[in-house]
Amino acid sequence: MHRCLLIFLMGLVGTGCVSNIPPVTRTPSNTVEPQVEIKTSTPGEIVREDTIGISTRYDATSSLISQSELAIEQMESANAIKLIERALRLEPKNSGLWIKLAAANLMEGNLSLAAQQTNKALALSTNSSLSDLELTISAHWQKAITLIESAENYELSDAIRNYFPAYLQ
Amino acid sequence: MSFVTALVFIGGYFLYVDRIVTDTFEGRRWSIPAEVFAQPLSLYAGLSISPSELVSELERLGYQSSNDLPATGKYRIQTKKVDIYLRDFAFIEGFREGVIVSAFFDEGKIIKLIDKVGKELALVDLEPAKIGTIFPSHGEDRIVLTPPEVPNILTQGLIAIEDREFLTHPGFSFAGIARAAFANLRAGETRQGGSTLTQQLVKSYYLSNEQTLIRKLREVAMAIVLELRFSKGDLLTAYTNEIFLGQSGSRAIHGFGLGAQYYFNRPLIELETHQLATLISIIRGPSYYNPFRSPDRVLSRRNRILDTFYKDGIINKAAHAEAISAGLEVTRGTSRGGSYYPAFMDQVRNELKELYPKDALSSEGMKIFTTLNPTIQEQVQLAVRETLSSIETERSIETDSLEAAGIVTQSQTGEILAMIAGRDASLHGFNRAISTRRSIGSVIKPVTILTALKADMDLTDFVGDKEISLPSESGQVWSPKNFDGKTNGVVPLYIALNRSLNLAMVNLGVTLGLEKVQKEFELLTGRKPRNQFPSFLLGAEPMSPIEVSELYSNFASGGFNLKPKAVIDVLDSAGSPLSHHSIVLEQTINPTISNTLNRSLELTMRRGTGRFSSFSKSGVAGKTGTTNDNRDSWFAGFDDNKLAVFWVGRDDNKSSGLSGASGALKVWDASLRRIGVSPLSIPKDETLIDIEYITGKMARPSCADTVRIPVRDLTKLSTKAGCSLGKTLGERLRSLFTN
Repeated sequence: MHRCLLIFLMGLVGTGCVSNIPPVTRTPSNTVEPQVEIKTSTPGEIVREDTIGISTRYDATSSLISQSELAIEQMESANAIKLIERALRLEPKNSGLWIKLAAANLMEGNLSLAAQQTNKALALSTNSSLSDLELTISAHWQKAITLIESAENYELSDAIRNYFPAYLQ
Repeated sequence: MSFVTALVFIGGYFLYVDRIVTDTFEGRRWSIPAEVFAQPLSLYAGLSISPSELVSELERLGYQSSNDLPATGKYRIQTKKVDIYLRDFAFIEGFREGVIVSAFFDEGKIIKLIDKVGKELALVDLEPAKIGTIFPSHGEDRIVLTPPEVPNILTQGLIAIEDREFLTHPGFSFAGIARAAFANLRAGETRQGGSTLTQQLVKSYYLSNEQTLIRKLREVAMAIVLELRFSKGDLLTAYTNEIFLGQSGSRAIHGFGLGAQYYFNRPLIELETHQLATLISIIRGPSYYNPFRSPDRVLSRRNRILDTFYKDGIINKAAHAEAISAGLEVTRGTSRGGSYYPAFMDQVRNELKELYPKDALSSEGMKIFTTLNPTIQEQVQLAVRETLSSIETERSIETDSLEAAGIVTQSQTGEILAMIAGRDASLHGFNRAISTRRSIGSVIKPVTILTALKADMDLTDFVGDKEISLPSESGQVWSPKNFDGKTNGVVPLYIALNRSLNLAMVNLGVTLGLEKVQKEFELLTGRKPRNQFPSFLLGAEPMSPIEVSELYSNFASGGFNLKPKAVIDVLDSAGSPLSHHSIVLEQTINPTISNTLNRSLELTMRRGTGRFSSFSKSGVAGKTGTTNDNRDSWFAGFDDNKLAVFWVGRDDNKSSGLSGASGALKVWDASLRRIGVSPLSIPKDETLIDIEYITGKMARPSCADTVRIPVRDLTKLSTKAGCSLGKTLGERLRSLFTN
C-alpha cells in the first residue's frame, strides 16, 4: 500500500521506477591450454643450454616457444613477445630466445630494441657458435620480413632492411 | 486542500531524494583499486622444488590440505606427489579455469606434471600472490563480486542476522526496529540493530554517522527510494561489495570479497560456514569485533550467529556442530595488506605514474603483474633483519640503530625479485632502496678499471700505488690515503681492485682522465655524476641502492645496461591488455671486456675485500664499499643469475663502525645462503693466462699462488723468472681448486 502510494507520488512528479546497477565485468574466458606438441623451431633451433637439468618431451621453454611461434604466424607479435619473455624468465641466458624476442620486436616495429636484443644473443654466444648464430638471425629476420610483407606493411619491412643490412642481403 | 499540499510536499521531497540517491547509485562505478600481483610460480619438469616447498607456496596462497580435493584451493600431499586443485585465474595470457594437476617428484625436483586425465603438461602456473592494491586517498579498498561469486549461506545468513524482512519490507521495518529494541532490552546490550540492510547501505553510501532524528528520517527516505528504484538483488549485491569490515592503517576494508582475503587469505567462495559467520559477526562493529584483537568476543558472537543459522534451517545439525567446533582461523596471510611489500609497491607506483593517472590506478580495477618473487623477498627480508641484529649484538652497537636497504634483480633481464627498504618490512614511508642517496665508496672502483680496459689496458698492467694530491671541491688540497695508510709501489690493476687500494685507483683514474671515467659512468648509468671532483674516483658519489643496482647491471648481465624494473603487464578490469613493459637493455660493454672485468670482480671475492664471504670461492663476483668514518657500508655482488646490492648504515648518518665487508657483505652473504647461489659460467672461448698473484707476472708451472686471468696483449707480460714462494704439495692441490 505504502509502496504503491510512493510509486504514484513519484509518477506524479515524473520519475520512472526501473533501473539497474551497471554490471561489473570480470574475466574473459579465452582459456590458454598448454601445448603438448613441440614444434621444431624454424628457422634455426633454439640454442639450448642445459639449465633445466632434466630432458623432458614436454619441455616448458619449448612449450612457450611453440605458442609464440603460433602467435607470430597469426601476426600477433605482441602476444609472442610476452610468451618469449616468459621463456626467458626460465632460461635467461639462452641466446636463441633472445633472437626470437628480437624477431618478434621487429614485427612490432621496435627496431632499436630488436637490435639490442640481437646484441644480447651475440654476447651470449661463443666464438665457435657465432657464425651459426648469425645465420639463425638472418633466417629469423627474413621470416619476419616475409610475414610483414604478407601483411603489406612495406614501410616496416623497408625500415628493417635499412636498419639491419648485414643480416638481410 | 491541506492533504493535497502535504502530498505535493512529500512528493517534492521524495523527488529531491530520488535525484540524489538514484544518480549517485546508478552512476556509481565502485572505485576498484588496482590489484598488484607477484610473479606466479611456474611448475615444470626439472624445477628444483621439494613437495614440502611446493606445499609452503600453496599455503602462502591460502590453499588447504584435503583428502579428496572437493573444490578449488585444495591440495593433497602423498609420497613424492602433490595433487592440486588450482583456482580460476585471469593470467596475462588469458583466463584459466580451476583444474586439477598432479606434480611428481624425485630427488628434490619435479619430474612430471599431469592433468586429471593423465595428459602430461609442460608448464603449470600457480596463480600469483596478490601483493597489494593501489587504493585511493579516501582509503576504500575492495574486491567487487558478482552474485554467483557470493555463497548462498552468506546471503541467507546476512538476511537472517541483519534484516529478516529484507525480501518484503519497503526499505525500513517497524517490526525490525521493535524486535531489535526488545532483544537489546532483554540482553542488556546492543545485540541487534534496527536498521535494514537497505538503511545500512544508505548510511555507508550517503550519510555520516551522526545520530539525529533528521538524519534518521533522511536515511529512511533514501532507503525507500532505493527500494523503489532497484531490485532486491541489486541492493544485496551492492551491500556485499560496500559494507565496511575493518581498517588496516589508512586502508578501509570494504565488502566481503576483500574481507575474505583480509581475514582468511582466501577467496570468499572458498570460505566455510564458520568463516562466513565470522565475517557477518564483524559487520556490527569492525573495531569492536576485530578478530585479530578480540578473538574471544568474535568467537562468541560467531557461535550465536551459527545458532541462528541452525534455527533458521540455513545449516543442518551436523554442519552446525562442525562449524561450532572450528576455531576462528583468521590468518595474517600475504593477501591481507593493502601493500604487504610497501618498498616494492613504491617502485610499482613509480613505474606507472607516467602512464596512468593516480585516479585510474585507484579506481578502474586494473590488474598489475609484476616481477616480485615473494619467496626471495621474504627470505632476504629475514636475512636483513637477522644479520643487523647479529651485528649489533656482536659489536655492542645500540639495538635497532642500524638500518639497511637492498635490491635483488634477475641479472640478465633487470627484473626486480626483491626490494628491501629497511629492517622492518611493513613500514611505509621513506624508501631507502629508492630514495636514500649515500656515497658509495669503493663500489665505484670497477668503473675506473672498466675505463682502463676500454683504453686497451689489461688487468696485468701496472699502476702506481703512491701518494697523490689533487684539488678538492672546497678548494683545498685533497690527499687520499689507503685504508691501512701504507703505499705499495706499483701493483697490477687486478690487485688495485681486489685490495681496493685508494691511491692506485686515484692514480689510475687521473692517468686515464677523470672526465673519461665520468663519461664511462654516464654511459653505464644514463646520468652525469653528481660529483665533478677527483674524490668521485673513490666513490664520493651519492647514489641509492637502486641506482647502484643499475650500475652493476652492466657487469652482471655481461655488458648491458638494465634499468631495474618491477612491472610486466597491466590489464584492465576485463583482462584486456593496457600496457606491456618489455625487457629493455642497451649494450655498454663488449663481451670480451665484460668477461675480463667480471673475472677481476670474481678475484676480488676470492682474494680481496670479499674474501670473508662464505661464497668467496663459489664463483661469485662483487665489490665492497666503505665511506668516510664508516658511515656507509655497501656491497654489490652477483652470481650467474642474480644481482644483489645492499647498503647498511644509520639514518642519522653517524658512523656505524662498519666497513663494506663487516656490514653489507654480511647481509648479502646471509641473503644468498637463503636464496641460493649459481656460480658464474666462464665463457667457453675465454683464454686465461696463469699469473703469479703477487707479482702480476706470467707464472711458471712451478709457481705457487697463481690466478687465471684473461690477458689480451701478451707482449706486455713478463714471465716470472723464479717463484716468490716454493709450491708445496698442499698449495699445488689447493691451486687446482681455487683457480
